[in-house]
Amino acid sequence: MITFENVSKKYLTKHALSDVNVKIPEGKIIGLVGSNGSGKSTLMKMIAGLVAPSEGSVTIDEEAVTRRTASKVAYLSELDTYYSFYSVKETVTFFASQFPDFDTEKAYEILEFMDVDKEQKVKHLSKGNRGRVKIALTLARDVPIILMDEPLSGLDPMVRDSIVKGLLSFIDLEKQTVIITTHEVTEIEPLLEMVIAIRNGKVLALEDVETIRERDGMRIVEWLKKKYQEEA
Amino acid sequence: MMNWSGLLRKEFRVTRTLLLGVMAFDLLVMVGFFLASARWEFPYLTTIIGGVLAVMHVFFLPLYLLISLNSEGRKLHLWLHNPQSGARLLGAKLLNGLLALLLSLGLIGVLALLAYSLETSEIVFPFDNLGLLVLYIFSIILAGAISMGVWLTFYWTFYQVLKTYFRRWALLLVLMLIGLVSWFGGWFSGTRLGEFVMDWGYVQFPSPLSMEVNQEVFEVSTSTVPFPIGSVIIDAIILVVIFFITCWLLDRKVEV
Repeated sequence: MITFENVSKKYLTKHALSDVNVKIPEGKIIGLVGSNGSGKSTLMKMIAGLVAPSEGSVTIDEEAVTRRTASKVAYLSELDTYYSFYSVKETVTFFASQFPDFDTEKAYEILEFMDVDKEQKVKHLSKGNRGRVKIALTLARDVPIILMDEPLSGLDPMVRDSIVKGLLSFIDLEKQTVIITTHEVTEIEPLLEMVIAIRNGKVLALEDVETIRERDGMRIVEWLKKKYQEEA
Repeated sequence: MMNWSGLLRKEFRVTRTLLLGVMAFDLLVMVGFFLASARWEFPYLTTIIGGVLAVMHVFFLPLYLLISLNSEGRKLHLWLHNPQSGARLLGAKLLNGLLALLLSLGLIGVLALLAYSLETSEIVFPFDNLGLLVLYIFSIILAGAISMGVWLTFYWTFYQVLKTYFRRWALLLVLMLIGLVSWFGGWFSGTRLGEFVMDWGYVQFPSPLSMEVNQEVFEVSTSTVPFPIGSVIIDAIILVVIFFITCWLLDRKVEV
């Protein structure tokens, strides 16, 4: 379980996160939704150990998160960065050398599913294809936590649909927790089991998607708008 | 072991173009001066230029590291999202830089020797033990390069820590820190405590620069140079401490 306890993140005078208290359960696909600058990426980076809290603590299975928590967490960044000198195949080899849990065969299987040429240099791929490579590198890891920050960014709608459908077959929900941030909430909604609403660095709610649908009769975007109005 | 060799291979690729560029520069300069020395009838010019190029290699490692670190700085999350320790991430860069330094120095050495043997065998050097001189210069280049490389890595990492909070002011703050550390080092070494800590353990090393000949008894005795072992040990300890502080900063304080 991922636990945020009284977590705040301050950059001089600006608060990126304020007093976050949340327990994220295991074995679920969870959407992290909120407006731009609400703190979604900061929250993700904290779980990945790439940003440290100014106050409070972030733990995974009661162990404090540090940069080296990368051994338990696969993190897909929103940024379009890569080692330009590597081909897709060399990138896979490099990741396999760095992460003992990396499944090279699975990476190739996902790349094939996404129709990416392994021999191409990553820098020569289209932005969409680079996005697919990032997804393959992340999902090919056998880790308890997978974080995907805007994984569908830069992909065209047709491709997004096939990737969303494919995601499920590459995740082992018996032992993996997946947290996804995206602006394409409607497209990933069928995948999500839980959703976290965040605004101005504050976690407004953590809710089951099923409950939102059955109890409130709402879709996630409508629920998010309602939460934002309640907070305003 | 696989992750270490994977890191090393990646580091080599990050800076491969730079290494090839430096080695091409070495080759061009040495061949150019070799051809020019024949034309100008200046037979030991290539060897002298080789020596100058070799001494300039004291700046090779810090420059190499700066380029390599800046390349990672543009994609920090990719570099830091890795279960390897900071010591391994930085150690791979240092080791790769050192190997590149040795390759470039080796090329210059071979070219200088080749030029020397092709040009003349009548050169009289103002010193008697060429091997010892080369060893001393090599040690000084290596020690200087490692020292500057470790300090540069520390300042770069500290800059990354400050950048998260102070943005464009971070560079100014790091420059101020560099000034402060330099001033403190100079001031401290001049104090009694500084002399006590640094200035000890002198041993006499053979000098390659002069040889005294006692003509009366036909004895040849090599003169010596004093070498401060204590100062070298203290510098080495400081460098190790600075390296581990840098690793701690990278593991705990650098944010993306």
